[in-house]
Amino acid sequence: MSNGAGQSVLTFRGVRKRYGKTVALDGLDLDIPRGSIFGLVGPNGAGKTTTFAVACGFVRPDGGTVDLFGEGPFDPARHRGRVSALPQDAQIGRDMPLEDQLEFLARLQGLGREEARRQVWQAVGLADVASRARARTRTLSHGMIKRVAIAQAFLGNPELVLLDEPTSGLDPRQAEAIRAHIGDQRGKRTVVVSSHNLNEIEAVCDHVAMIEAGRVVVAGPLDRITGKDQEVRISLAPGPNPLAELREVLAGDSVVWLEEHGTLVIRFAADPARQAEDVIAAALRVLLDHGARVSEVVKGQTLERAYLEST
Amino acid sequence: MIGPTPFRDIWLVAWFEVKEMVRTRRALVVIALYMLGGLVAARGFVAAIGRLENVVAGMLKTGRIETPGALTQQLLQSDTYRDALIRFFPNREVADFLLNLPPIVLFFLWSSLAFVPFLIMLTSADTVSQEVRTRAVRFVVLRTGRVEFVLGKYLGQVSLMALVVFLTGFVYLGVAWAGLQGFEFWPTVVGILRFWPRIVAYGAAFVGLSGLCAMNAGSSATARAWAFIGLVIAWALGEFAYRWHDGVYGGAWTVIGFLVPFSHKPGLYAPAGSTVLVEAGILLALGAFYLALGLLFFWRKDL
Repeated sequence: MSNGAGQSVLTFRGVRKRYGKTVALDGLDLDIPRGSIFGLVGPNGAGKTTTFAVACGFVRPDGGTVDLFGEGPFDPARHRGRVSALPQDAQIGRDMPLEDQLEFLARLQGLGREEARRQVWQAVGLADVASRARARTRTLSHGMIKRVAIAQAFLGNPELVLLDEPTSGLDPRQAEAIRAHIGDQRGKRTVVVSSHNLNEIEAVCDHVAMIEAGRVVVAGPLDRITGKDQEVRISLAPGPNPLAELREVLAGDSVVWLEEHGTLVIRFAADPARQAEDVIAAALRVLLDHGARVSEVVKGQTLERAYLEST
Repeated sequence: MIGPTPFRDIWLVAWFEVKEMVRTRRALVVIALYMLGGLVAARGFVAAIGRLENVVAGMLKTGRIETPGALTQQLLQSDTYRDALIRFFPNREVADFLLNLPPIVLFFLWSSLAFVPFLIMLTSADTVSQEVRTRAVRFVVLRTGRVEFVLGKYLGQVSLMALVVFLTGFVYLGVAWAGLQGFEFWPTVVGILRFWPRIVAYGAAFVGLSGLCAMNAGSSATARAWAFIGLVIAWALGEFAYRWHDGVYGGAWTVIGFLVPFSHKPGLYAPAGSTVLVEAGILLALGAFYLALGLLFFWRKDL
């Protein structure tokens, strides 16, 4: 299922992959727009990790095509240094000093010795493990190792970074730091993040795809998936409810009153010239003029609600 | 999949492999074990010479020989004795060459060729499979090709093996210096250094064989098991090829024999020259051939 976006940095068409009797991918169609922070969500076993593995060339698909940068499937000769990843469950070597391992990876990526060292120091700073740079990996905590593994994915400033469950196993403060770093990448590179934490995806990403049973169920800009550019929900406390007046003012829109929730749901056509804020302003003017008691205004629905309704 | 700078990447992987083995003390354990083995073997050789000499001394009713080596040196200079021994060698040229070497050098060559295959199967077999099992290989193959990764890993193993054998040569030197009468320092050093590259070439073939058997294994234990099975099969094929190369399917057995490293061991005893160069070249090529076969599967393996 294409999300209809512009230039894609990574495209899957009809990708299939089976591990024995288990179908991991079952005709996956997906486009990752260049420059996006793209979220991949789905239950355990949906195919998220296999999607990443196929993109990186770790596993070969049984069918379908994968295209990176319009140049075909992953090939180290063409894509070294341009694609990087945090593979799930991959262990950085346990017995070597952290700094040496990162320098090895950086040099393998094509960086010269001095540039590799400079980038390694940036990476250990990003991972907040500078004081333990000479320590063997086995002496570091799980969180430190995870942060280092994330940091190695940004060595050499790749164009595309694939992060499989980057915040799993991290404490809230560390997870927030990682999310902030991912958000900082907007406009600099394309980042694809998989996670079970829909709140996290919603906070960081601007595009999302929902995968179930090896297929994309829905994909597109986050605002469209959650209806943020097509729906407004206004909760009212008990009191005046000028429903008729509201329908008159918002004549071209759908206005529904959910009595059991005390919520007005206003659905409108996505239009760059008339955004959700304009609809909110018009609705609030009517409601406040008629003495309605507004308790909450929310654009669209949560990603979690959209996910549960779609899958 | 091959990266854009294959030789640089192979070198980087090999260098990191050696560095990792040294840092993790794995290299030190291997070196210590092999040097200990060399020490035991060399002392055993010296002791055996001493016992033989005392048997001869007993027969001749001369006094007990306290320091081994002197009688052996005398015998080796005797034309009658050399003519008797030469019957055990394929030709006079090889025989003269080997009998002119310090005995400890000949033993160094023989014992290294005998035990290096086992050393390699013990230490090299799981070098790739371990990284696949922990998925650490995924960090690497995003940055270079699978071919460079495998070749670099096994080049690192060949380097370790070469270092181990080189250092063990000093053990033989030391034991001979301390225990053999008539010990000649520089001929022994030259002899060890002369044979060291031959042993490395022989070992490189087994590094390749361990790669073929083990690089696609799912665990370190399975990798070592397959490596030993491969070693036994290679030895058996070599034996059958030797026995049956004149028989009904002699042509096939000759080809099989050519493809097995054990069959090329005798050629490494030859004097320096084209025979040794050809055998060493064949062994290095065999190692590369085995790795290439393993890569045919590793190329498509899900990592």
